[in-house]
Amino acid sequence: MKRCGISFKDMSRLSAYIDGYLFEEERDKFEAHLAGSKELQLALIRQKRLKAALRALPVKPAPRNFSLSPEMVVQRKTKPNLMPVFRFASAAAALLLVAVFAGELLLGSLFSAPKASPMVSEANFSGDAAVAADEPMIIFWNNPAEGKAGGEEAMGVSDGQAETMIEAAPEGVGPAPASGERTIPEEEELPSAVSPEAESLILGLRPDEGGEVISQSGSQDVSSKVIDLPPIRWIEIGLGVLALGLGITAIVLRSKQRKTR
Amino acid sequence: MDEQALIQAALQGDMDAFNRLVLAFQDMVYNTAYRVMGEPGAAEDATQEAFISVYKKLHTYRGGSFKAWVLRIVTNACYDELRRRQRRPVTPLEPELDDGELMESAKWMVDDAPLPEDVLVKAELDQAIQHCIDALEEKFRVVLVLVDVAGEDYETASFAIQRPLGTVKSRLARARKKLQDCLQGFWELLPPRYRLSDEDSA
Repeated sequence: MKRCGISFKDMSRLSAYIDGYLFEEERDKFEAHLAGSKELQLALIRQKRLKAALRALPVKPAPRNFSLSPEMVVQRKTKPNLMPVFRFASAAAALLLVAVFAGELLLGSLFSAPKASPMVSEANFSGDAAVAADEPMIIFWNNPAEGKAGGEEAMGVSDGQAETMIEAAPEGVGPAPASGERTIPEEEELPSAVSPEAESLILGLRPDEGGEVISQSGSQDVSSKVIDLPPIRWIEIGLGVLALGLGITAIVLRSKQRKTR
Repeated sequence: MDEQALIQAALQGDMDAFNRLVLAFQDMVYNTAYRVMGEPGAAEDATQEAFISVYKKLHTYRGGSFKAWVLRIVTNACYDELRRRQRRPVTPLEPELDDGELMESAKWMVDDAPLPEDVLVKAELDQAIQHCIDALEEKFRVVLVLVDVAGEDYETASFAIQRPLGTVKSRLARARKKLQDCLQGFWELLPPRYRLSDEDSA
């Protein structure tokens, strides 16, 4: 603040000087400065006049008697204010949730270990490799649990099976060229390319259960996957719900308090 | 009965003793509240709340200046009342113009009572000062009222606002500067003997 050439420091000293709150040494210094500054002298006069005008303000007498009656000071039993508790608990839960998330990200390898289990179960679900080698290959379409084409899944999950199938296939159904280029046989060549063994491959059906719909990826599987969430997820969900619930409660309590005021 | 004896009696539950303290302090408390709040109704509310607080907190009084202790409670009551009124603004009583704007109410310049010139000028000056005090920020206003209007020393003001002495000095300097600026235009409307011009200081 530096208006009219007087710094705030000078204004502050001037104010303290008027009230006699400058130490002797400081006061002498200020008086020397004051003697050399006409602007400061003018400010001093103004401040003194202002102070006098303020002191001269009429004293407003109390308009009534403010004596207390016993009823006025009866301690009203107030309900304990739980709002800060809820607010703190909500914030703590939210912070803990963030900490758990951060911990999971930082120590991802530790937490990701349990994630292998669904893969294992998928492998089991797709069929044991040994069993599959003996039985004809079945490609399950429209697997709802995976949301993918069953054939793609089966081939993708158990490469061993795929290799077995390829090896078992007769000439002409051999693996794709090593160069990675996939040659699509001519249309008229397709029927001859299917061997009798390959004919036993039925999409979505086992040979001995012809016409029967196999539903290995039923609701039981889906529910087991939901329940099989890693513990860290349950903790995160719990903390999230807790933070949200406590936060809402705190807001409701606060709004109620405001209304009663 | 002296102040300390009344306090002791009030602590024992003697309501009459406490009310004698109320009578002794109520003008000082109301006047401080009025200057801080700038409105009689608000000042009354703050004063009543302050005395109720004094009664309830009397057991926490640990000696020293009882007046300073009461001023601290009044200051807090004023802050509370100001906050409450900010949350629930009071509808102004000033008349409105056709376009809905509030009419410029230079209330300190309007007084129909047939007063002698000096009294009238003094009343106008008082109202102008109160108008400018009201325009100050709360923290500056409180210090200015305690020191310049109520005439308390810096130590009492420091105790009342629960801030160090340096803060009182700095806030007071700023408050005085702002008040000076606010009143600058008004001084010029006053009769010459009330005015402060450069010639006065020459």
